Amino acid sequence: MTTPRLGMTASFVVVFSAACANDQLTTPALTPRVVVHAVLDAQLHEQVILVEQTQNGGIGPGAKLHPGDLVATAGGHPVSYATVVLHGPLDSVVAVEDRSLRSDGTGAGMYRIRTTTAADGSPTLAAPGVLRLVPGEEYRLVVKTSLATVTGSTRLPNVAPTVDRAARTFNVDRDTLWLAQAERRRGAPAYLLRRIHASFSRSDRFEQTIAAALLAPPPSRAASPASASGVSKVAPTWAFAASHDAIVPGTTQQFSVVAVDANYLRYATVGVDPFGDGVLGNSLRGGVGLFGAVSTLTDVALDLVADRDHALEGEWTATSAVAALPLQLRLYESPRFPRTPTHGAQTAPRPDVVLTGTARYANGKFMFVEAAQRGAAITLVLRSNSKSDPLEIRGELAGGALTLFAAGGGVKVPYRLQAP
Amino acid sequence: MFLEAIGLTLAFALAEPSAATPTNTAAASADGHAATGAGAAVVAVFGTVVDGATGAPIRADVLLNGGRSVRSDSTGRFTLRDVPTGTSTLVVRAIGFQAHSSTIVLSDHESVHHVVVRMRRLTTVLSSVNTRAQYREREQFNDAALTGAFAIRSSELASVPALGERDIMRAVAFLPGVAARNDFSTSFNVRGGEADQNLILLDGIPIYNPFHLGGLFGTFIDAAVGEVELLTGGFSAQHGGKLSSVLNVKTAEEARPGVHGSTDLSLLATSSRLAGSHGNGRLTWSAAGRRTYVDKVMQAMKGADVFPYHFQDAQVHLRVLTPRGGSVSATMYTGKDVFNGTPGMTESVTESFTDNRLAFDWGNSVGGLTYTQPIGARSVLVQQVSQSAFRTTFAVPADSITFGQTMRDVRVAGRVEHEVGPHDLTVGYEVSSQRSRYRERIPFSEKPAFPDAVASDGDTVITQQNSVVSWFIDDAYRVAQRLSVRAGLRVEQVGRLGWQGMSPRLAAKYRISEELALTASAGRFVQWTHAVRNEDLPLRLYDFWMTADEQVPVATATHLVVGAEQWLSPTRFVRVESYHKAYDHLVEPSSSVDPRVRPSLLREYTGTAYGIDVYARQLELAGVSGWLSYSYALSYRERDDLRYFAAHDRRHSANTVVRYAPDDAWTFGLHAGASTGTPYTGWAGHMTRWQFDPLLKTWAPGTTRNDVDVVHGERNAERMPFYTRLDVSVERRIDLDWATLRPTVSVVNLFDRQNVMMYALDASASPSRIRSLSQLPFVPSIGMRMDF
Repeated sequence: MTTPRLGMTASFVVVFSAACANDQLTTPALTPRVVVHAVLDAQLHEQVILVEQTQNGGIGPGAKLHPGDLVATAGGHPVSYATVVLHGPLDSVVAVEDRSLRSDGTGAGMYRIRTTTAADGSPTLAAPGVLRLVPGEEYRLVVKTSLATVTGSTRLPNVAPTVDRAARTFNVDRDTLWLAQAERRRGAPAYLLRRIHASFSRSDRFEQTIAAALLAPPPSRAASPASASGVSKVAPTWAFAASHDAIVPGTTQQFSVVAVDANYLRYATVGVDPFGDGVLGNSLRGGVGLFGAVSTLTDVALDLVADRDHALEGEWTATSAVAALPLQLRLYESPRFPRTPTHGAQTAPRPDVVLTGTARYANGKFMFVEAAQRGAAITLVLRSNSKSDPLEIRGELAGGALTLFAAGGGVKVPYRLQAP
Repeated sequence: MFLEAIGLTLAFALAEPSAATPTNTAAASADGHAATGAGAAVVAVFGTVVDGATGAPIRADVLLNGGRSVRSDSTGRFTLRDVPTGTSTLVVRAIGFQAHSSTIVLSDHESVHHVVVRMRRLTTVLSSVNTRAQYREREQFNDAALTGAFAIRSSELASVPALGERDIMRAVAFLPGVAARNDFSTSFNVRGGEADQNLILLDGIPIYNPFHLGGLFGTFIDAAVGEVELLTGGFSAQHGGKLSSVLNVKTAEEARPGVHGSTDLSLLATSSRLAGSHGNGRLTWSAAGRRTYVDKVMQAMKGADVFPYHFQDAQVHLRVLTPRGGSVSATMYTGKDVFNGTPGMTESVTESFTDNRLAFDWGNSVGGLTYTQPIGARSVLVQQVSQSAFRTTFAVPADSITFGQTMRDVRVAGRVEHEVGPHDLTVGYEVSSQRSRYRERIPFSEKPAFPDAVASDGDTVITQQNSVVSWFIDDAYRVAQRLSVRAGLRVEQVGRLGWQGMSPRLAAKYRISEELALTASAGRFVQWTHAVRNEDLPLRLYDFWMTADEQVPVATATHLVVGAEQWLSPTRFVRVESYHKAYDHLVEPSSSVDPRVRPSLLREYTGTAYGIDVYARQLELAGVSGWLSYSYALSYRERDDLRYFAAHDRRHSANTVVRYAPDDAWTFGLHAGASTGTPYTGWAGHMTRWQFDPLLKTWAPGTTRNDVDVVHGERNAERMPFYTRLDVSVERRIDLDWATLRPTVSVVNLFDRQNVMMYALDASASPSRIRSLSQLPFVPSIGMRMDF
């Protein structure tokens, strides 16, 4: 029998190493990383870059968040004395840490860069120390710290950086809100669509394409017989269609469109993945966080009205001031935006018509109103915000005259309809 | 009859005109004269080598007139072409048998001559060394331009210390270039490739998820396995569809006449095999089954359904030798894992559900028919029809949650092997159809379990259907006495995607001397079915499979292998190979925890792997045998300009497998393994996820739970500690009148080395702590094999 020296020798070596192995499980330590958050905003002349490091343990609530000392007051570990450089296609600029400009030591980890945005893409130079932002161009951020060097790049959305901020009255039954210079504003990977109705409702939604029409009347119930709910099943052709049930007349709402880059989009929309490779949506190398870019296209406040084709629609003013009743009422109903009352809908019989609007009290307080009419009876449900308990006021509409009853029905106040 | 008719039809089309009706089979006479001189007519000799006592077929070396030699196949058959008429001498050698010499007389009037060689078994095993019969490895060394080829016999598999159940998949993972991800996984990575890149064949039929219990056990029933062949790189054009390796498991053929059987008892399961051989080996069959019984044992002990899990397998194989020298074989396999109940030990997993009861099962079913038919003196036709299916269902009935997938692969394949002078030419085709159906049903509430942009309706069905047509040509060309080349081309067309590609393959072997050869191979490989898996996860129960379509790419790889093989003695050799592999269009899911499958969310990446494998092999039957393997490897992946180590990357890995049989009664087994740890993604701590409001122009900390992030380190930048493990086993053979008993004691991880399997961050503690979970602890087990 041949002696297998090679195999046996190797076996002994491996057996020996196994026998001498340390039986203790080793547990590695956490290795801190640099966290950077930066978003280039085409409408800003000063960009803020937050530089901090990860920390071991949950981040507890800091003191009240101070806008001049964000990182520290949020409970974070700011990284000071970093070299933060923003490189553009032609030039670069070094950021200055707020802390270095203040004597009280606040502003650690907050770095600022001055920029100017070229509205027309002309190749003029910016002032010294100011970086020129050009839509469609790529920008690179380099953050050198004692822990690591973090780099990232973003491309400013290729959209005209002019913002439509006009305030308008908008008839939801007939009007259309167009995106100005739409063709010049479709050069972004995604768009943030924001709608705000004071403290009653708010929605943020990202879309990868944007229609030229931001707001448009949806097809009417008659035009879309297949839809029992009154909402067309035809694919929407207007940008804010997803919020159609919240765009109610009689209110003032803010509609905004912001072009965002791919980094911003990914960071804002990713989910949760505990086994993932780093921070979800991370767009940086050598560290984690965000380096994105945004450019606001539209930020308009619209006074939403509707056609006055119902006796209760319009602006009503109380003939006498009673503290328990609103001084003024704006009520509209829209066949294009039909609405089911949200209060008491389960128990009360179906109303003839549902209206929405705003109530203003003598003390200047505004409330959101939902009104339901069943025959001559009127029910108003008022809320001061989305979480407040509703206030219910009853009344009647007779002969074109609106009368509301104060609590208990002892006081009746007639209202006068303003001329259109 | 039908298959015979097919064979006749194809024979008519492909056979040479000289092919004649076979003569009657006759035993070779004992004496004769020397072969006639050159210039005489030639005859093809078809022969069969059998055990003279049992009639069982034997793999043997057949030497003609002291010159050229061939080797009989698993059916004992061999073919010698261009044998001059007159008298020739055949010398037949086989391990465990006396060398047999006989003379055959070939007349001018015959073109085909049949001969049956009956071998006499040696009385002592030790004498087998003297027969100088060739091992499979030596045969490959002599004849084939191959790289990365390994053959393991069932006897060697049996001596690898087992974790309860003998498992060929675990033994394969000890070969060079092969590594299991951890102790709990029998799925393996070959030379830097992902685990789904291995083409795993049972008698030539692909099998998709050949694992049980999350990879803790392999699918194959040990007693039913005859031989295992592993190709780790640069394989020929005959194989396609996977990027990294081919593992071909061949069912054991019963060698003894009559009906025999074996039963394996272990702490986990019982498996039994019945097999028979009839008509001098013209009909062989086997049927094997296995079932685990931990669920039953726990129920009996605890009186409750505390571990409602078991798996079961059944495998049937049948082979019939046809009169004209062909054979028809059938293989069927079905296996299933079943988990149905309310497990006490998994409450933490199921507590989020309304009712803890789970219904969870998965398994493979495989069936195939293979027809082999010699055509004339120089050709062999092989046709195969097969189906392989994988099904799984996960359901929480109380919450109406369902995940399920069916993957079905139907294929027709065939090839014609033809010898033309120094060329062994193979031309073949493969037509396959893959159909996958995935369904998920998740009732969404206001707070869905996985709230993100991917959320869709609660009932989603994704179906994919693909067809792939492949053609290949493969030429093993003996260029000169020292140089052999194997060149091939595989053309593949993936129907659904309209993808077409050519995969050239080239291998060469140059024998510097009788005992030393240099080898090299290169080739391109493609893969159109992918397991939807994130390799970073250390454990998984099974894989979902997707086939290429508009959103799922066809992955490609190129291999380059160079090596050398030195035979130190007739039973010992050392092989060194280095390789480089480049991958393109690999895919993984974008989330490692979201169970939902979306083709559109797969993300592509590329990869590179290179390394060196060293393989020292001792081939003796008795005494000491086994192997020593060492691998140096580096495997990294790239995506979005980021480079990271593959999760299975091991820089150094060494394994020793030793079988020591000092006599017929005792057999000792040892496995010692050591390797550097695999990469993992570490942690950096927590961070605030700041949000910039582009309208208010302010920064604010996130307001939801997810806005305070646990920050990982760079992907797979950390590495587990060094890994070592020692396993031992001892087997005693007890011969009784009616059976042979082999009680076995095995110990896995003899020194109870606590190798780290994974780390987990305990974020609830402040400061956070990292906890480690260990791999297999000290696990003793006993078992018994009974052969009758």
